[in-house]
Amino acid sequence: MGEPGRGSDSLADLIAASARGDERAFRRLYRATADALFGLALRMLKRRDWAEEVLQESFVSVWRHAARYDETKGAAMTWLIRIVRNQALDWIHPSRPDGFERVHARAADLLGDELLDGTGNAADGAELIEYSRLAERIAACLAALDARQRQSLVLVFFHGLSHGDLARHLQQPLGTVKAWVRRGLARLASCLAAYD
Amino acid sequence: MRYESEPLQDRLAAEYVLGNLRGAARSRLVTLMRSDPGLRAKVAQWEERLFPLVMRAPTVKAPPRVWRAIHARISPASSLGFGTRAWWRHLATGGFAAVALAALVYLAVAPPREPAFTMVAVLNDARAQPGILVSWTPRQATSRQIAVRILAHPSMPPGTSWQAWLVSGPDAAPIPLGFVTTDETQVLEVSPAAANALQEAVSIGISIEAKGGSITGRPGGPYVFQGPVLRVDS
Repeated sequence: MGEPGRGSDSLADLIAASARGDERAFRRLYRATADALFGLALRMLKRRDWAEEVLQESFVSVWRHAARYDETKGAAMTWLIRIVRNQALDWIHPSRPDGFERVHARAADLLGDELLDGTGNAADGAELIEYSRLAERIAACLAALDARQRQSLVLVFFHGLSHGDLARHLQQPLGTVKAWVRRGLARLASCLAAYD
Repeated sequence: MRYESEPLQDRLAAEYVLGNLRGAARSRLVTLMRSDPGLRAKVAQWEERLFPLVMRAPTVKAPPRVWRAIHARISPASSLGFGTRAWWRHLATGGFAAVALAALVYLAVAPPREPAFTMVAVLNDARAQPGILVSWTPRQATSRQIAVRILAHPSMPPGTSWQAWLVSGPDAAPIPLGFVTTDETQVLEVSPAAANALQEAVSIGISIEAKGGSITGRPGGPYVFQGPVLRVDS
């Protein structure tokens, strides 16, 4: 074992070791990230059994494709989140029953409040804490958005709603909610650019 | 659709990362990304922007069976494969009929779990701004109480009352729930008829009525706030 947060303890190193078939490293990678990723899958799918299946498929995929991760191209957590989100979005493919049913979220969550007040999860491990710091700017920029735009972005990103689900949920025409999403993203991008 | 223009590429990358591209549109973008490093870079940039947000949401403890299933699938030693997929395959071929039977017996005799959920309606105004939150637990419903929280302060013209209505379907007559004031948190005591209908609630609406409420028993005008009732499992 290396020093905490460095050397062999970084998520990137654990992924690299997994690529070489090191099951213990893979287990540590799972322990460090599974709860955050399960929370994500559960939010998007709203059903524990589906979220468990998605988490399982995701980590099997991580194990099989660990060699594809390239540390120079982005944070390890970004790579893991991408895999889980892709699995979850496949799960809620249009062929699945209506997404409206899935909006069993907490009220604060539906409004995106929880993301803004900074009470998020207690990430343990220096690397994950560092990663969650990156979210501070994004949260500040989200807070600056019009409430409708923010709500639309949060519902799509965290709750896996499609444009159609969003229109039904907010009881607005499809074109209107599409415009909120588009403008929300554009304003988010320019707000974040101002930080750079 | 033309994918070459840069602003369009950026927009598609953003929508893809946000999760808004589905089905064929999503597959198409994935295919394009393979041959277009510029598009890949834009997707990566949006991932960096949005994905850290995941860390601001609460974690949920993954049950130990998930790791067991993963381990069974990746470990060459366990060729039997108790991962859920393999398990179901065995079940389908009848090999695990005894397990299935045991599961059925368990489902039949296990006591139903205490329902732990809250019904929640976020009522938006005509511009889809969230304004009022209405919620109740099964226990509250039994004692005929529902909680109301004002999120954005509505201005109430003098001489008017704001009346809350429960809607249980497109053809069902709205059932009056009570009057909403400007207090930030309030509890509505509902009638026995309304309490009985809570189970079937599809949406909640708020109408502006003359002081004292609607005299016809139906909303006197359009809902100024409304929203669907959602079940929130806790």
